[in-house]
Amino acid sequence: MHNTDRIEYDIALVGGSPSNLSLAHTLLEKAKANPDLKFSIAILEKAKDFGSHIVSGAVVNPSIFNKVYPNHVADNMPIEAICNKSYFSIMGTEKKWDVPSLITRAAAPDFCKEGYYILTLSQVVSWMAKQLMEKVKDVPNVKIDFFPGFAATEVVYEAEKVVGVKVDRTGNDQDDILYAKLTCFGDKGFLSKDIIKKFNLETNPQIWSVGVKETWKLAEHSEDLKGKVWHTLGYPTLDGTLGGGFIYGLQNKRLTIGLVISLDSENPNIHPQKQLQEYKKHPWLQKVLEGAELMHYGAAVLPEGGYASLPKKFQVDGAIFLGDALGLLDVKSLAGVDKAIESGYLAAKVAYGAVAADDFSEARLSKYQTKLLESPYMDKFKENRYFRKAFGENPELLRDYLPTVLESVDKTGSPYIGSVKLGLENPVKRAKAALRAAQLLNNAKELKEEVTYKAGYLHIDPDFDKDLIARCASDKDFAKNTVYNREDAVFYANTHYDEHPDHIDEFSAETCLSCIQRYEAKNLDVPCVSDCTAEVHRLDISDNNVKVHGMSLENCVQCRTCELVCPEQNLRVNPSYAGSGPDFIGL
Amino acid sequence: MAGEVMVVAEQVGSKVAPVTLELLGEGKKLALKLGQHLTCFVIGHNMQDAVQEVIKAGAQKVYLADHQELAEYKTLHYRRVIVDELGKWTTPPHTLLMGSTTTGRDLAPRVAAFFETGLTADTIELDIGPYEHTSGTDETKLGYFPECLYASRPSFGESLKARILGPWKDPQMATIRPGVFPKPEMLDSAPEVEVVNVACNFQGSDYRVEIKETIRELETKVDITAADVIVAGGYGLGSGEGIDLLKQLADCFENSVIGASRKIVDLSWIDYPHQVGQTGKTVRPKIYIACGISGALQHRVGMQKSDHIIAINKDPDAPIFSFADHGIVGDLYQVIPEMINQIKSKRNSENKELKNA
Amino acid sequence: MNNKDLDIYVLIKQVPDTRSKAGVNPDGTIDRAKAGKMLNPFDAYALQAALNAKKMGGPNSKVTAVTMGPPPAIDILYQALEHGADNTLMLSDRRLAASDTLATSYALCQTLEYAFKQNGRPGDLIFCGLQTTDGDTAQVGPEISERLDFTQITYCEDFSISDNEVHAKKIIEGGTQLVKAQLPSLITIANSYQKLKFKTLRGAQFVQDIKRSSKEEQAKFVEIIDLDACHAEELRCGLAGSPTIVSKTWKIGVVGGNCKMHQGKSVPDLVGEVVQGLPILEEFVKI
Ligand SMILES: Cc1cc2nc3c(=O)[nH]c(=O)nc-3n(C[C@H](O)[C@H](O)[C@H](O)COP(=O)(O)OP(=O)(O)OC[C@H]3O[C@@H](n4cnc5c(N)ncnc54)[C@H](O)[C@@H]3O)c2cc1C
Ligand SMILES: Nc1ncnc2c1ncn2[C@@H]1O[C@H](COP(=O)(O)O)[C@@H](O)[C@H]1O
Repeated sequence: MHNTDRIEYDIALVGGSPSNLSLAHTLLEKAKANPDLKFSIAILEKAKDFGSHIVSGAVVNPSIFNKVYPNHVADNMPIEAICNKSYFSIMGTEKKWDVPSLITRAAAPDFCKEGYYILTLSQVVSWMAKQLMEKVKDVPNVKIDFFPGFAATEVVYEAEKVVGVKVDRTGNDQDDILYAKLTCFGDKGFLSKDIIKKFNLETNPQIWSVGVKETWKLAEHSEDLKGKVWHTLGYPTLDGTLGGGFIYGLQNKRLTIGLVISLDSENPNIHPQKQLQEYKKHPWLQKVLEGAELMHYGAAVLPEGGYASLPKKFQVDGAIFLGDALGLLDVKSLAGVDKAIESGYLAAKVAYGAVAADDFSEARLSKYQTKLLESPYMDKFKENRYFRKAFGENPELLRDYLPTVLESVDKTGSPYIGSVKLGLENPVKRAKAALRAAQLLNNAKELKEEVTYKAGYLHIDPDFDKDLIARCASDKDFAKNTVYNREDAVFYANTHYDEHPDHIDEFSAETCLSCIQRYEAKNLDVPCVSDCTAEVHRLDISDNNVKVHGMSLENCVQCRTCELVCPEQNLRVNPSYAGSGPDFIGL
Repeated sequence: MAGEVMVVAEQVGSKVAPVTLELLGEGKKLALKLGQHLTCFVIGHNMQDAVQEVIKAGAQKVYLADHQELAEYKTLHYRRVIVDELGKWTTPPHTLLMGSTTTGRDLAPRVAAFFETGLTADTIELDIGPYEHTSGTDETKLGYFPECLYASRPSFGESLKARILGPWKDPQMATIRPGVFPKPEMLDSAPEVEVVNVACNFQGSDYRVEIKETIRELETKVDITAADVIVAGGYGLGSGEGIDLLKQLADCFENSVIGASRKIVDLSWIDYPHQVGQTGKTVRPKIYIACGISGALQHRVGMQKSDHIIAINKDPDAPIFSFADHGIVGDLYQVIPEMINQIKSKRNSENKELKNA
Repeated sequence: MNNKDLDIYVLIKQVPDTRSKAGVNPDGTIDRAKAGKMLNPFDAYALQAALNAKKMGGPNSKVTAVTMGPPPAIDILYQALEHGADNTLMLSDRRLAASDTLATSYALCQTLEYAFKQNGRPGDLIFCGLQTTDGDTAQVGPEISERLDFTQITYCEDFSISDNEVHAKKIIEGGTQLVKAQLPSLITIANSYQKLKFKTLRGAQFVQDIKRSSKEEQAKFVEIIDLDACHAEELRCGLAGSPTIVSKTWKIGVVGGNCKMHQGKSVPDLVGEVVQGLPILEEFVKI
């Protein structure tokens, strides 16, 4: 019956991601033209269904779909709305100030999203997979096998070449390894980070942020917000951490509310899910959410390092990296989907050539890097490369300037008085700082500066300023049904684990013990516990009355925040088995 | 002329199982409606006492298969004596009932398939009544049937109840869920009734299964799914000591256990087997008393089908009140002791009444 | 272990998916037409048991998954193949509609006999789930074993096979029992048995391969037959062959929304209202 040869494909795609699915789609298009070139593709996706581990905003430039999926409208790609009005808003604790669009257009053009698609990316990814399943039937020279529920868990090398990934765990390599001449990683770094490390490709360490997001069904009688987009700065992230909120009006009176918070915060206790609840306590949102009902909750991390964190090479022998795995997200405009798809599109062209030439060497594949760097979608990305540096260089921007501006918004409804006040305090220094920041943020073209980020975990400050932490808490009034504690929120991520989950490694229990003691002594929460988006990490009391690290893995949404905030780098989140995990379809 | 109503007795160690008595009690009513005898098929070894017992419970005639091979329940041997005996009859019983226990569910389908007759599983209501079959491709089935066995059972995850009947062929069979019918009043002494000794002609093929060992569990494990009353605690208990108070309340009830929300299991106030909810057990007791439980969804999905939910919580807006039957807004450390108090005094006054009566 | 090759059958059924929200009416009843479909969760244990049994037999042992149902039920057969079943067989025929357990067991029995004949010898083992989530009777298995004159082990929690015999641990009233039964045997698997493992990479690959292949090639692994092919008498199947019918249904146990609140009084009064207002409490009070 079943074959007993090794399981082998020409191309393996790790991750049913926007980038990989676009890659497969484009490959099919190309293969139609040459029926004699036969090849096979395997698509591995750790979620039970394509799309169910995808969390995104998502407001996306339609041009990328016009380019890669020219028939997407006729083919009924799910589009929630087309943005008809976008706002960039400063959130005070009481009021909100929409920056006049003239100013936004001049000072923050990245946040002008009119004409952009508002998408529920999980559904778009599900659509992409279904399209592929249909389309491949008309291209007999290409075989695509779909493997939802199968996570790649380990990269397999032969000599210094990537030859596939470990997928199953029957214990028999012959049945467990999927071999491929070319393996494409659109896996948000789950495994590809190992290759980057092995081949020493890192330039700057990647900076990550975490996005927490909810979708709501608004009350029947409420105002229809379809097509409206808000990006907000300020409340509730007031501790000097870089972060911002997004609110998108979807069809059928649904609303997306989310926060993106940088994990390179010095504050050891970011509490992303809790901050999202604080966000909703803002009077404006309280009003919007009157009578609304929570539908979904989820979280994912985003690579924020940008252009400066791109690896030295985008490919090695037998493998290439795409989308977030490569770090193609521009945090300044909160746009990653377009570049992810573009990376798949360009990779397809290179992969096609490689299949035709039967050459999958780094040398051959390096065309991918060249083409991608030349892509028009990379222009903005490159231009915005000092965004993180601007805030990194001058923490006062967020710690002092922003709160003063917010105070002014709350008192007067606009930021002007606050800005003037700031200017008056120390005119020379302030003006200089403002100029420098403005230059980094907006005139990067003229600059030729190095960017260096601190190594992933070194930023956390166990002696973080308590006053700054205090700023994030509030004693606001709020409607009960608008705010969920983390334990209840998890229910809306629909997590489901079949077997006893064991997908997070804790390397050393000793290390956890000393970390707990260190943070407890300072009266702080342990970062993995406070920053978990899903009630996974906890402290247990052991038999001899010591606090130890415990995990409720059945709640895990696989966002990887714990791995990134662990001050000891003592945790690793592996992709889980058997399609288990959250179900984000609809989020 | 309809046949009798027959109950197949279930025994463990020559003792009649409670469900058999329940069936005899209910079977009696059916027999009266049919104007027929209630009979009991007793199978086992050294069953004299058991025979007396079923007669006291209302059996008007007993078929007794007493043989050492029958001492313990064995599918093929038990099946043999039933099909051999009933197979000889020209008028089969009208109704044939067994308990919906692991034994009854093992045996009844074999008998039903042998006689090619209908069998309703896990019945919770029995009656006799008319039925008219007016349409269908099979014309031989059309007609009016004045005396059908009505067997009703839950279906679709207990949200519907369905009446099932099959008057075309006797015996009309059903297995009955234990515990739904009350035990009948037992006669003080057994009247003289006919006891028919049933022949045991076992065949070689009946010996194809052999029992190597039987392990009866003497100590009962915590099984919150089998309890009638669950007293459950949540984070509102404030500390692990609150569990003692729950125990005191649970102690007031028969067949009761402590339940718990996940939070307090995680905090090790109580062990995992007590956990109710999405990651714990799904329960459906007669009474669920939720103490200091907010009613978070994960918990709710595990207990919302309880027959009666009483919630005690300080917070009048706690979600639990949206699906409880009775909500007490108050401090559980005041409410529960008072509850214990009132239940105990009620019980005492009843006991007194009993004594006086 | 040098056992003989075993011919193993596992009976699986497609049932409405009660976990998905689709097709569940607000009152908890199920709209069968709209509901999603899934493998009967109890049968998942039976499938795992069959796959485990295969490892206990000789090298040419094989597992055949059998179902009776409408054409879309083919999905669960593919599922069985993904998990490692060698073959599948489906009985599908409009005349089977409205079968009760007796009619179902008859039709499945004919299907099994058909398979035995094709195979040149009767099966050694038939695995069933404990019960289905829609029929919920636990009767089909034992009824089949009566018809085929197989030995029977119900509520099986664990088993091993040697020398033409099954050694099994099974649940009985108030305990467990170790039994030894001669093959051929029909075993219904309790849900305390091992959970069904996730499909294998190879199985998932294999199923996609056969779905792409020709009809003839597909039929080698997924055979679909009707009543005539297995010589089933029409009058013993479907509504006609069912000795029972559902004559009436009621809704029971609608949940939620009617909480009677007791608040703003002294604690004894609050408690008193509940204790008086719930006579059922008394039923369970210890005497
Ligand atoms: C809250 C939030 C808001 C955002 N908003 C926007 C926005 O408005 N506009 C925008 O353009 N971008 C936005 N982004 C960024 C955008 O979502 C990402 O840049 C984009 O999705 C990256 O696509 P990708 O192809 O790299 O794959 P990803 O979306 O990262 O998908 C990776 C896929 O691979 C799977 N996978 C991972 N590891 C494995 C493995 N080992 N084996 C098998 N499968 C695996 C995962 O389950 C997942 O399905 C947002 C992101 C977040 C988190
Ligand atoms: N239509 C069917 N097709 C295949 N197997 C079935 C079917 N109906 C019942 N079974 C088997 O019989 C077992 C008991 O079913 P039930 O009697 O409906 O509770 C199931 O777990 C299956 O193994």
